[in-house]
Amino acid sequence: MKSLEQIIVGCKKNKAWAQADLFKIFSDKMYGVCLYYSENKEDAEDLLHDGFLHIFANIDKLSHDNVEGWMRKTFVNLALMNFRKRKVLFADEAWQETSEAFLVDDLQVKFGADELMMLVASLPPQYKLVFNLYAIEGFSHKEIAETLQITESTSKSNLSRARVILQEKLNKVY
Amino acid sequence: MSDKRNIDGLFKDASAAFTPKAPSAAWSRIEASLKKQRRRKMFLWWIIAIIFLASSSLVSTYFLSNFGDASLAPVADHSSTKPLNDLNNSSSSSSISSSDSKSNGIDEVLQKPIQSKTNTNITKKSGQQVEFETSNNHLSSQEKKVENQFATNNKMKQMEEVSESSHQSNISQSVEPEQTDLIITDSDFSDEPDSTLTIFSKVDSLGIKVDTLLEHNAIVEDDSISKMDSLSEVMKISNRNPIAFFGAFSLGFGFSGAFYQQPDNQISTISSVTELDHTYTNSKEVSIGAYWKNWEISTGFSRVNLRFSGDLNLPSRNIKYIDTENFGTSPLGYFSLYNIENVMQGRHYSNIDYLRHFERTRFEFNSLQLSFRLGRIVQLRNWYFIYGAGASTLFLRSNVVSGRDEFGFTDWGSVSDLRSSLFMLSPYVQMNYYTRSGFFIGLNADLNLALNSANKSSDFRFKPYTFFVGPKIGYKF
Repeated sequence: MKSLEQIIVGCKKNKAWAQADLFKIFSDKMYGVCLYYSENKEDAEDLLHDGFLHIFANIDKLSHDNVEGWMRKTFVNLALMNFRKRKVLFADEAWQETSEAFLVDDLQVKFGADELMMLVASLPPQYKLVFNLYAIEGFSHKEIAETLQITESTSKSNLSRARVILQEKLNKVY
Repeated sequence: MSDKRNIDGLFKDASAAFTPKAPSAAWSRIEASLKKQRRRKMFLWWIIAIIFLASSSLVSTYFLSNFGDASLAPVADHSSTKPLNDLNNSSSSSSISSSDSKSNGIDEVLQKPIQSKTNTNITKKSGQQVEFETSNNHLSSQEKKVENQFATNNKMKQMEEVSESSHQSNISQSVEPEQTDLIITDSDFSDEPDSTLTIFSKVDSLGIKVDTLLEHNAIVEDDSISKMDSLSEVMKISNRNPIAFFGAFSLGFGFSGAFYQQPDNQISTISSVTELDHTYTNSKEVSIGAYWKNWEISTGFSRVNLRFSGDLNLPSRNIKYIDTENFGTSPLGYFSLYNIENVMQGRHYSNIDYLRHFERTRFEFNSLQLSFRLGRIVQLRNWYFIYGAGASTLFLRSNVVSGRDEFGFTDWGSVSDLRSSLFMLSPYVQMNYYTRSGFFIGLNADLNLALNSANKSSDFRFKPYTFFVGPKIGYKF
């Protein structure tokens, strides 16, 4: 396989082989990102499809060496766009424990990466989104508020509740 | 607080290590979408290319149709119709006078474009006779009576066609008189009171319109000359849009260059006024450009040299000036060269008729065109399609008109009625076949459309244009 640099040059020239190689390298990682921000596997696959098409169409804009970071950011932005389209409501009032449907029952005793991410995936969408942006992507509350068009206090509240849920689930499994 | 950090850190680390297997069908789906996008893009480019080629062809066809062999001047446009009553005002024994005389209706008729060689269609009342004279018999014809019979002359060939309608009858005559001939035509249509005299232009065997009024030694007046239609219509043009040769290079780090050489373009002309043997057009262009991603930008200049030369065969009398539009035509379009007497200083002839003393004439124009272009590059495997448009301005650097008289002297001047600059729009397309490096071949098509007329008049019908298509060879470093 060619070097990543050659593959990027090929992608910029719209070469099919380069696009296939780029997909091979990053598809698994990007699929993981898609899973964080999707409610189910079908949505994640759609996001993976749309994300790579967007990347191939806009790869001319890639001007630095951090290919993975740029791609990840692209996927997150697309996920956020989808999220905004769905107009998910962010509750600002006192949080109520959600039903057991959000809980993952088959967590393994031994926590691996997959299991932990499954815990996150089981969060209600608005909590999952804020938690992912804050804890994993490193956004500040201000940035989250601007991105999701909510208030900073709503962002903080949703993050806090996400943490509580995760903590409880971790305790439950232990 | 530390718990919060621990939870955040725990999940952040987990996300970094989280690499689920992407669905196996995902790539097939993406690949299908990419192919669909490419097909859609190509379809769009094909549509653009087809529109460009079709419009270029239409424009070329439109202009070329004005010079084609068979599509010359509509007869009706060059006809002159005169009620026969005017003829009746003249005495039955009137003779054809010279152009100095305007005393009767015959003179008026003679001031119209009259055919003396072929296809003179005359409809007239019974018994009316008209003599067409040549210069050599001019004086004798002044005293010659009109006779009620066809003149038969052993040096004259006649071909007469008579067509009749309910209101009009025509006689078409084809004659080739020599200078001593006296041409007398007659017809007997006593039952046609509303007959009119109709004079058609001649189209010779080559399909070239010849206005015999402007034939050597024909009887003409200023007014008649000024009414003459475009001389371009009597010019036969060959090889109007020759294949130009393009060379190009691409340095591979954002710079490119090109040049093209158009072969000499020859225009053969046949006219009763000007027999321009040949016209040369020589064009050279050098350009340099830069490309970045899918865009290219270029600038350059070209030199265009036009030369017309040939015999200027003018009527022998009563020539005060040539006042016709579109005296010349070339691959650069139309050039209006009128009021020549204002720019050519006759050696010792009066302004009245010095032009006829020139046996040979030569017109030469030198121009420089500066252009600026922006193009878009579309790649399809090894094919690179470039389409774009630009603007350019053409400066007329010099123009010279020279004439050689019968003594071998040469006078010269310039055409004052040409614009010194033209502004042009220049769409273009290129198709190149590249390998990774080395020689490449391609095809280049350029269209230059002037936004203003070549002459200073307000007549914008005559906007020059050029259309070059040519092969291209280059080297990619």
